[in-house]
Amino acid sequence: MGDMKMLGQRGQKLIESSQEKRTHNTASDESRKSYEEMPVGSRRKYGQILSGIIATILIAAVMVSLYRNHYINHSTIAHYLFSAPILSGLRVTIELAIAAEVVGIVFGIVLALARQSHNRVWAILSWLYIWGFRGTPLLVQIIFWGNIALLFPHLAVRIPGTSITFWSVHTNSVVTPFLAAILALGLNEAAYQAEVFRGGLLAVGQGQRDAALALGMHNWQVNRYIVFPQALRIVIPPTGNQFISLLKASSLVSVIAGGDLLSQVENIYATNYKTIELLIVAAIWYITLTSVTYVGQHFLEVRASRGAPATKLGNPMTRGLA
Amino acid sequence: MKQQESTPFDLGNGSQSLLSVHKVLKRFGEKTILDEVSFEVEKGQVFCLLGPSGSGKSTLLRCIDHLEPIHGGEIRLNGERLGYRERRGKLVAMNDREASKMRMHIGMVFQHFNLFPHLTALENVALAPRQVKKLNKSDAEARAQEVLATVGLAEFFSSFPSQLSGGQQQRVAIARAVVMEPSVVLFDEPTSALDPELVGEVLLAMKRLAESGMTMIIVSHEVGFARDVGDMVALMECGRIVESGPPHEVFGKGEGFARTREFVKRII
Ligand SMILES: Nc1ncnc2c1ncn2[C@@H]1O[C@H](COP(=O)(O)OP(=O)(O)O)[C@@H](O)[C@H]1O
Ligand SMILES: [Mg+2]
Repeated sequence: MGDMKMLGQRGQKLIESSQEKRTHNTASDESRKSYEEMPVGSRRKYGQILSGIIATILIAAVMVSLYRNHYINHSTIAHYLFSAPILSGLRVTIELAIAAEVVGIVFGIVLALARQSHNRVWAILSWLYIWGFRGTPLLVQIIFWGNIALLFPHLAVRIPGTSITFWSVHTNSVVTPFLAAILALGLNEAAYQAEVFRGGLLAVGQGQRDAALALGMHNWQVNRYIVFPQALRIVIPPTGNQFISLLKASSLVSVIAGGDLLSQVENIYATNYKTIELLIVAAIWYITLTSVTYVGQHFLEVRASRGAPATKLGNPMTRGLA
Repeated sequence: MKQQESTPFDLGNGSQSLLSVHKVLKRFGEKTILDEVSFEVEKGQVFCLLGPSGSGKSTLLRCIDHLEPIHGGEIRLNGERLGYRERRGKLVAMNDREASKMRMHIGMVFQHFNLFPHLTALENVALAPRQVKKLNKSDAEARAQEVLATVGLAEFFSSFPSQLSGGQQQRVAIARAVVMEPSVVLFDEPTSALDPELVGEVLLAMKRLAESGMTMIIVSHEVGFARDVGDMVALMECGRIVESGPPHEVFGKGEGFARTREFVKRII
């Protein structure tokens, strides 16, 4: 339509009027500045200072007591911290957590979309899945996957009702403890991630969808360009939280000899009885991993906060304390 | 989306108006929200809709853009039925693709702007030309810049909505609708969420748009604007258009506009 060309000349006036507005704004900015420059006295926070002193003393006392405790052998901790079996367990824990989180995110997105689908069958199946996996203990699920061979001793591809078999294996040779651990953690994680994503999708208002539809976008474009990018910002903090839970929950796979950090630690203290020292080794590594996650989450949040009103994300480690 | 089949739609009415709304019926549950609403808008006309809160004005605009299904009557744009297709003598709702193709020709401006907060002003305006009209990136951005300049926002291309005033945001929203070169633009109370001092700049942008020949349907309580810019004024009450006429008659000496004048007296 040629209409807009005509608008072009007249638009000039509008531009001028908006410049007037800006000059006006600067004037008010200046008056505000002089106001802010007035000295403002701050109150002393005696309560905070006092509790700070008490907390410092308590923490120091605990540290000293642990350090002096004769039942803890510090050189054992140092010896095992970077030992081969511990590092191998650490690697398995990281691999497990990442693999399970990937399964959880991908499958969780599918479940969240199915849950809000117009197709009732999808919505109900998704609800049932989430209900089942959130309703039973993770430890039960891990042991179940670790013992799946009791239920299905063989995995086979064959034509039902005939004896024609294309391919058959022992379940235990395919579903190794490592795979069983990924399945257990990943499928469980998916149920929780689905709820996280559903929350993210719901948080993007109907007004955003309406505006996008009114422009002539079809459903997939609305999701791709409008809903998902906004939902992403919302789901990052709870997803980080989920990942931290998963990192620690992965220690449960030691019950099926998953080869993770805690499995290795248990193997070692089963022979040398240095239980506390080795648990401290494990704790040091777990807290290191979660700290790294904090930092990673912080950078993801900064990247996804495009267009959000200026907020102070602050230091990733101490943010929750502000 | 179940009740749409085999409802008492009025088939065919050979009208030449740009937009014809004919006996449109809309229910939410048992409640009838639009009760056989009919009106016509000619090309280039500005149609102003007044009416108390809850009378169904927003619902009417949403039905025109097929954001809500209707339960009877028909809406035609350039002679083509909106939202529904005839199949074997029955009417069925358009699918996603058909509906989105249809909505390309109808612009919509919302009370609360509904800008995309994660996109800059320029990206807000360029998104649909790029993704819906499939222009290449530089053409889409060039068009978006052109239109943003006409609403006086040439210096705010890279601002995010959160960095703009309400009046600026609403002007971006107008640019976002206009850049698609729609046949008609629907405005749902475009100034009622604004601070009073920001209303003028938005009305001015709308006036310029009207002067450029755009067909517009405006729900607004800006009576002065309706008087100056409107070609038709209609009053809606309880899901019906109860009075309508050209503004000089409605607000002047014309007979039979008592309810509109009463309404206007109440809101000023
Ligand atoms: N999604 C909905 N579900 C049920 N009722 C609705 C919905 N949207 C609007 N209504 C009802 O329809 C009536 C008209 O609303 P609306 O079109 O928003 O009026 P207006 O814009 O004139 O103020 C109101 O009574 C409102 O409560
Ligand atoms: Mg309304």
